[in-house]
Amino acid sequence: MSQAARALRTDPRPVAAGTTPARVTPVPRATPPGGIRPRRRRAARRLGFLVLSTVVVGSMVLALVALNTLIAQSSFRIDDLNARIDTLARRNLQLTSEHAKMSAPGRIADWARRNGMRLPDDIRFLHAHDEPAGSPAGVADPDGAR
Amino acid sequence: MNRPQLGRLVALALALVVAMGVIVVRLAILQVSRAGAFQAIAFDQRVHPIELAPWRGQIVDRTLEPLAMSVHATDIYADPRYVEDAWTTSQRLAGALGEDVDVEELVDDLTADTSFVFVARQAENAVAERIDAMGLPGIGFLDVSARSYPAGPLAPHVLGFVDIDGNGISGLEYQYDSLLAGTPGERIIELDPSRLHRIAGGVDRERPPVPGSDLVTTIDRDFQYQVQAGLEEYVERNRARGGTVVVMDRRTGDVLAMATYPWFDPNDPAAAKEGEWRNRAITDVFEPGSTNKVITAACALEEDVIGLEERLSVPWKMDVGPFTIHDSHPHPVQPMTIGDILAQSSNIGAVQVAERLGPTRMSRCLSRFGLGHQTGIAFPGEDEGIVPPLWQWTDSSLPTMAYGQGIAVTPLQMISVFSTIANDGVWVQPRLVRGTIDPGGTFHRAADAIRRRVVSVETARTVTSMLALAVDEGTGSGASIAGYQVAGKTGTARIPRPQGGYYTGRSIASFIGFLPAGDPDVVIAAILDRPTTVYGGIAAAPLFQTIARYAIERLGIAPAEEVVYPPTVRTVR
Repeated sequence: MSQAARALRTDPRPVAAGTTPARVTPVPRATPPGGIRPRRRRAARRLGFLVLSTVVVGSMVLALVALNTLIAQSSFRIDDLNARIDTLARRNLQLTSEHAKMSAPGRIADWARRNGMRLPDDIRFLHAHDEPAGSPAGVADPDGAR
Repeated sequence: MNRPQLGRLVALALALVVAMGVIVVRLAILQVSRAGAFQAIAFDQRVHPIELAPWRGQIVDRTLEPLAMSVHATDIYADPRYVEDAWTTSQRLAGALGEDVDVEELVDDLTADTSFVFVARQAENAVAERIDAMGLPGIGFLDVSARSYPAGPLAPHVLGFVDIDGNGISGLEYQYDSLLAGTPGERIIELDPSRLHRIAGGVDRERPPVPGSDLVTTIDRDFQYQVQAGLEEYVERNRARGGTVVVMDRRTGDVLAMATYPWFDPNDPAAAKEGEWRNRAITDVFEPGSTNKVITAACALEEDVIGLEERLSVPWKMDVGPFTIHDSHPHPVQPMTIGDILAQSSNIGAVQVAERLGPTRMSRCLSRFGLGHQTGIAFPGEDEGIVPPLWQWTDSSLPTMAYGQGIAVTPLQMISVFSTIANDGVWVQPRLVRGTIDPGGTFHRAADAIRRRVVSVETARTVTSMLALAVDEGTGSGASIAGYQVAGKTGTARIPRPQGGYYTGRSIASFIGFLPAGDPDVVIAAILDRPTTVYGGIAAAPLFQTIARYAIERLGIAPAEEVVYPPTVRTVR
């Protein structure tokens, strides 16, 4: 080995002063199958799968629970609305019945009689089209108003 | 140590095997071969169908105002097994239900050996809510419907009524019961053996009920009220036993009002007296009297057996077989045209005209006008009247029928006769129903009324002019209305005895007519039963006038061109 080559040679390991460098057996770089590093990788992969599965399944369960809750809420709302429809239909029927009773001609006639009203004695048919526009349709009878 | 004998062990084993075999076979029978049948039995025990009652349709008037409707009500029941103190419970129930509840009767019900007894049926919801709030053990509630007639005693004979279960038993309620009732639904549920609780996840199927259709009548509610008010007033004024008024649209045959006095409240039909449920306008007959002279005159003109200007010598009485027929008032023998005969309502004149027609043509004519036949108005119990067949006629039949005795008609038949004259000789079948409204809200018009020509237009218009004369100058002057030409005829018919002959002083007074004579809108029949004023011209014509005034106002009837009166002895030279 030339001087220059020796000078260029470098030893990465520091050598303590006064000691002879020990002979180092080189460590093989390739790990044989079934070694420590593949097992860790598999465990990591399994962990990842588990986490992913948990997340997916959890999300699905949450989604299902949410959906179920929504359905239940809708169901309750439908029940409430149905009950409301029923109540309003009953109320509508009750009001229709009351309206029919209140508007019965017998009831109105009784009320009118009690308040001094009566049917006219005479009925005349006035031919409006025979008269010039704007002319009076009849003559007021002050006696009749008493 | 003695060992058991092998034979015994084998026998025991065999016995066990046989016993097991029997069990297995029985199980196979129960679980395999007859499994279906047992499953069905078990299913039937658990599954209960419940009928869902449909909502009964309304009956409305021609403007869709409700005349009959169903409302919510509550049936209150008790299960005596769970009633804790029958006496206290009865007292509290009676207090809530009202004074007409017998407490002791209620105690008997609440201590009966049964699991179900009605406490009150179709109670108002407010009453049921009050009782519910008491929290009485053993008292339950059922949601039901009750029939309500909101206008009270308005057209009760037309509407009819229903029984406690909501089935129509009278009037239109009966006639159109299947249409009004709807179709029941069904709910099928699975209950536990106690039959009190549903099995979770069990069968729960429902076929909803189909509500009934609404019935649209031809009746005008407000006009019907006026007609009833007028009828009541004139029955009381004439101290009559009762009365009937029918108002009809001559073009369509629509009955706008139909009233019979006395009436009843269909909300409480049990309070009515016997016979008051009958719609006498359709189900009862009377001898029409002089109103039947319209048929005699129309047929004579149609058959051309008498001329309009021909004069007949009319005495005030004449003998027909063993009977003597006479006019209402004595008069000397006088000349009369057919117009005079109708206007003055001469019985003898009508007999002379009928004799020219003869029995065959008279019989055919009565039939063509619808006498002796149902009108087909679609109402329960319609009477066809009494017109003897031609072979049963005696010597007195033709003369008496000429002026409306010896035959019997319903008020509806008689108004149809006048409607035919008003309608230019075309008979139109009367009707009470305009159509139906299905649960989806679609209106279905009733089929058009049946029509048939009875007499010619010319004959009908000539008879109309005679009827107008009868009001203007004849016996029907009490029906005249200022500004309108009214056509009509009075009738005073004696009431026959069941054993033959006629009652003295008892009559049916009637006036049937239409207005305006030149272009009629409505035909009105006003009939009073046994008025003290006796005569149609005195008792019934003013009633007609009152109803006609209401009709003018309510239906907006305008006057029409007046018809020309027929020749009379005063005008014929």
